[in-house]
Amino acid sequence: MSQQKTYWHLLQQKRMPTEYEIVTSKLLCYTGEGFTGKRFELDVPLKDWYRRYQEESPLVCSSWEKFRDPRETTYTKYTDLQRAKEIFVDGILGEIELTGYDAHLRPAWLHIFHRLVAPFRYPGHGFQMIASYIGQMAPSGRITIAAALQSADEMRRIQRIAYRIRQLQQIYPGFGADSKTLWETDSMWQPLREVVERLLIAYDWAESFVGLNLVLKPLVDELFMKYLSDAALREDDYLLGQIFYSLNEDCQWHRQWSESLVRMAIEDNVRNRDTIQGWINQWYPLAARAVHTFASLLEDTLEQMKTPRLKRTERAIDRYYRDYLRSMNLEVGS
Amino acid sequence: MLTREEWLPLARKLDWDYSYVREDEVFPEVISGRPWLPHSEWKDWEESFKTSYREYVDNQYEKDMAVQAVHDAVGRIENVEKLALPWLNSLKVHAAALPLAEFTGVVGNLRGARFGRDSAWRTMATFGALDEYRHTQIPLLLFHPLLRLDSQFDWAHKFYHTNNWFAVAARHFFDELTVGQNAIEFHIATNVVLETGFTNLQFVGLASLARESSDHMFERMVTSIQTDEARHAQIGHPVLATVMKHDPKYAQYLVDKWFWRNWRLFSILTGLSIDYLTALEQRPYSFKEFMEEWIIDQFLRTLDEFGLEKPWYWDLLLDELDIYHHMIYASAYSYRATLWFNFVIPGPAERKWLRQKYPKYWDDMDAVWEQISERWRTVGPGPANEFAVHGTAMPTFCDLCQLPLSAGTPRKNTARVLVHEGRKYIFCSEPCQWIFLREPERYASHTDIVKRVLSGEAPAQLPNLLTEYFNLTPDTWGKDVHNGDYEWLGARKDSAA
Ligand SMILES: [Fe+2]
Ligand SMILES: [Fe+2]
Ligand SMILES: [Zn+2]
Repeated sequence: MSQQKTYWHLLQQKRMPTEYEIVTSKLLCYTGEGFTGKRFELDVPLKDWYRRYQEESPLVCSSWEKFRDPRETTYTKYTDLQRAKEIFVDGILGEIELTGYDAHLRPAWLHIFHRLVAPFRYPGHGFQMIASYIGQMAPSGRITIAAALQSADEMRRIQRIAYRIRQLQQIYPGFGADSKTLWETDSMWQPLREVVERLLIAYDWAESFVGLNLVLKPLVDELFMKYLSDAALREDDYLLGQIFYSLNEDCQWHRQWSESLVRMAIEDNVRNRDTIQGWINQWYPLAARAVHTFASLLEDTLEQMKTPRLKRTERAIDRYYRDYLRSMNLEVGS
Repeated sequence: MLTREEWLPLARKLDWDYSYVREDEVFPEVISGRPWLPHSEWKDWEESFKTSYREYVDNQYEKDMAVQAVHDAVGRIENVEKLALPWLNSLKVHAAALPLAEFTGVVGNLRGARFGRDSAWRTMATFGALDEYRHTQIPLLLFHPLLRLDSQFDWAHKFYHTNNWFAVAARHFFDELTVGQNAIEFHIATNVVLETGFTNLQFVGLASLARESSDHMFERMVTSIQTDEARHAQIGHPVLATVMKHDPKYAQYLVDKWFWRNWRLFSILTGLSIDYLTALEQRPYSFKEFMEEWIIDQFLRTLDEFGLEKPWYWDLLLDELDIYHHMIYASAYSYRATLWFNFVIPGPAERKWLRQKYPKYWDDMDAVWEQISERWRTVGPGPANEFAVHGTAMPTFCDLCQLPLSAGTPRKNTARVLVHEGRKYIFCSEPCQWIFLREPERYASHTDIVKRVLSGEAPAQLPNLLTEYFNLTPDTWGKDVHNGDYEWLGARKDSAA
């Protein structure tokens, strides 16, 4: 019997590690957390890429291993959590099919759905790509894992919207067929498309993280998953509201883990605050323009229907966003 | 509910034409891979196994529960203690090689999930990244309790973080294969060559070895992992088909190169497990038989499907089936203290079996084991004499595969020396030299352990090298499982420590 109670790198904790700690600690071998004192063993094709966009990132930390996902999402826990959410959504989708729900949706709302919800698959896929980028370039395994699971959550959102479109197509043939054209040409989508495309090529790993998770996603997710879903409830598409409620739970977790990472980074090195703030200032105007374009259009359209209360969507999102940043000692850029 | 076929097409194809940035900025060649083609050339990319997120989380949760149930039933120390000693040590080899290598697969798949050239490819790679997280998690959890039994299991996590010579070789392989690689080369090398060519079948082989050895926990683990590999291995096939269409020479090069690099690593991992670290009566086949039936034939069929040629070194490879892993095992036994698991000497019954299975060169190998046995007879068994039956001179490593120069036979060395830009390099074999010369910019600056010793980066004295550089301890460094005390050896018992 060896009496060794845990793996070498967890011994100094002097307590039994949690399952999350066992399966997520020190998983990357090239970031200087082991004994090798080297990065890559050879001159890999992406050696310069990693140097430029990871090692030389202005966001610095004495050890990125200090990051912990507040939900401590092991693989098993992830599939367990998401499976339960998906069963819930299946229930709603099944109800839609059983009750002939779609035949009763109002044309004006269907128009909103087709113009605003169906094309969301495209920026959603952009979000999935950027999350995957953050994950592959992140300097610790736990950040990689959080970003990979976020990428999968984005896929979930796309697929649930796709399913819903297919249901509507059974009653309204061709429904949503022009989503790609709308995404590429409808003036409402262009500011968002611009910021997604530009963020795709923001290759510093930490800038990519700040641009997506601290700027673009909080604003866009809040608009679509919360305000659009409230609108759906009011426009008698209450089941879409419930589906979005479930998808929004994923988005809430994206904010939570991002907040943990930001707090840890600023605690470790106070200069990180300015670095992060600088990126927020840089990306906020583009992202705000995108969200405000929708917010005002959404209000105009819905006003002609029966929802006068959305007047304040734009201001409400701004207020929520200010509070989110303030909780991390950050602010909305000028 | 709608069937997957009815709605999934609306979620698979989500590429669009960029307006604010250029396509080659979103997919730079250095990280997307070559040949660089516009999306129009990739738009028909199609995976053969289709899965939805909904199905994925459900199936994967069920699979994890099934693995956990087996772990609860037979994963306790009492169960593991009953395993034969050689098999337990085979387990330590795989425990070390597996989890953190799987994690490099998370990074590689995320590369595909961002830089893959079609949205359907990227989406499948997102599942691939999750799968590889699972394959990191399962072994780290299953081997964790075994630390109380044997601290050599610490290497399930520690291995890739050390400068142990075998870890250097393994990192040299995985850094190039996954973390540091562009999306196209990653998916061809990993999905088509490693997963379709090796791991899928290796896991089938390991599962049957584990079953024969009554190790139901390991059997269940690799079987469960293999079901994920079989699914995400499909990603690389349409990638290879497209590269084949536009640049068949490059496709052939990637496959030739990566088959050789994989062969080097897997012949050690699997070869040692089958022919030495599984009890004789539990060996379902020899490593060579396994290779011929499961790897060689299947791989040639895969090549055929794509219109690819047999690699140019094929005859050489077939010849190595008879000898390479035997050379490595004998050499590793001689330097066992440099590794983190224990070794067994093949006894008369094992050697008879090996001679039968490997008639071509076994006489030469047998002479090596005769020498080692004789040495134990002379010094007598016992832990105190371990280093008296151990190599002392530093072995030489290949400048490509980073493994000891063990190609050839005990009588015929096939090492090759090359001077490249004023520096001398040595290779275990012709294919290793060929790979080096195709892309020296990747390999030329690497220094092996010997050069590190010469430059003072690593200590020259073996005990210091073991503890300070290889991160081993007297508890964890490799030994003979019986400390030379074999009945057939007829050693002088009285001299045992
Ligand atoms: Fe895997
Ligand atoms: Fe895999
Ligand atoms: Zn070699």
